[in-house]
Amino acid sequence: MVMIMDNVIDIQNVNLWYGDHQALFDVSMPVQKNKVTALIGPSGCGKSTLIRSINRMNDLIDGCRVEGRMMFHGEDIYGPGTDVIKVRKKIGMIFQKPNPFPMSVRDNITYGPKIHGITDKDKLEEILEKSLREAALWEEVKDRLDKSAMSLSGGQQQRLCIARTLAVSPEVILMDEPTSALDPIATSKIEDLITELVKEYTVVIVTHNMQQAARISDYTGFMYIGEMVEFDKTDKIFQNPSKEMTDRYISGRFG
Amino acid sequence: MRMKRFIEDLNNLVGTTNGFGNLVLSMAERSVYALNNLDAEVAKSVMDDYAQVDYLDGLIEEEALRILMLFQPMVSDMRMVAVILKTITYMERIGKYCYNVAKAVIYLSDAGVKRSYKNISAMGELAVDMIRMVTETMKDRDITRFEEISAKDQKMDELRDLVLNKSVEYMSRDPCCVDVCTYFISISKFFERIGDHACKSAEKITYMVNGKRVNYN
Repeated sequence: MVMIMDNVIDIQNVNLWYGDHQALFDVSMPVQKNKVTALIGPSGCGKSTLIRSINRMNDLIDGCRVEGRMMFHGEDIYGPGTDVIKVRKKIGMIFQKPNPFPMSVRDNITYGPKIHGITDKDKLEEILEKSLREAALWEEVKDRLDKSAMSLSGGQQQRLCIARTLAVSPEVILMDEPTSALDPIATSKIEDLITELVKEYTVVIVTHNMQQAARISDYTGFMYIGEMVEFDKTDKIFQNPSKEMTDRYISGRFG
Repeated sequence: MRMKRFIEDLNNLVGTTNGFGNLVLSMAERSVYALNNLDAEVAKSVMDDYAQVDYLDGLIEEEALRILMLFQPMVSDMRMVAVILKTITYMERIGKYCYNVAKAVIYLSDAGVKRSYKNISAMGELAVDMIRMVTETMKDRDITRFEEISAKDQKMDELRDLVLNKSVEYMSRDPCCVDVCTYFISISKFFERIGDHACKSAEKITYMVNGKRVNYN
């Protein structure tokens, strides 16, 4: 295990159940500030469960129970006094399928800030432009801000969702297979974007695309049947992993 | 299906690479035999084989690049294809040095030279040993074999210096033997270079086996 300082999130011995079914077994993983951490593993290995438990998305699932510690700046995300809304504001999430709201580009972006109490028009316009610029979408949509977000291409919709997340000033962005529904060009744009975003934010990404994980992440965790088999620097994982099973999975021998 | 094809193609690549190694090893053995016995016939056979070395170098490179394009191998598979690409270059160079030794043997034989020198023969044996270490390890991945390769390379360098000093001594004593001595100096240089390429191959093969970067030179 590598020693990592400056962890934004520190997952410590987390076990998670959906009813009687245990989905995570004693999972530990650090998430370092301003780095991309990738989670890989075959379908059903628990990587989506893990990433969704980081901002308590699993709370919405009946019978879901979490044990262990999920620390965010030293405070337990599952602690009794935790404000879940605040956690989800600080730790945003992007899903596999772009899911813009059925409203204008502008309203998609300003929706979050308005909910969080920002009403000043100039301030909202500033957030709108800043978020869209950060998501590398501004040039493509600046002349159609009042058009429906649904009229954008899939890749643009995904970047809009990223911009929407950025609009509420998160620290961490969780991405659950953010490019698996996109074509190669749109995928490249998202990858370039992630590389830019880590200068300001911290990113955790679940991906089935091994080359993508190798290209964009600094650290990689390989999960199998609910366990963290290996976590290390991405270069190490993809060139010379410590565990035979990691090698076999990444090289496509199973999974 | 994709995986099955990949494993088949990778196995074929490894098989061709091992065949390439066997060919180069055989050339080295024959060039040393030709030198020790001043046998122009055997030397000629080594020179003839170089065309096959050149062909296999190109063929393996093409096949390895095709595998990279089609399957984008990862982790240990990636290391294997990358190391094959590097190693064939070293092996091709070794094949070329064997060719050069053989060519020099033919000259010496034509010049009526009847025997080689002990130290040059010893360099030849070392060169064969080192190539065999590389080709065997490429097959069975037993990198403990390489523990001795640095010492062999160092011995090779010492012998080259001895040959050089001795040859200079002979040449200054008797200018008539300048051409023959020059050929012997060249041969010692070829063996020394073979040793270097074998060491570089061994470094790459170690990386292929355990992912660690080592220095045997």
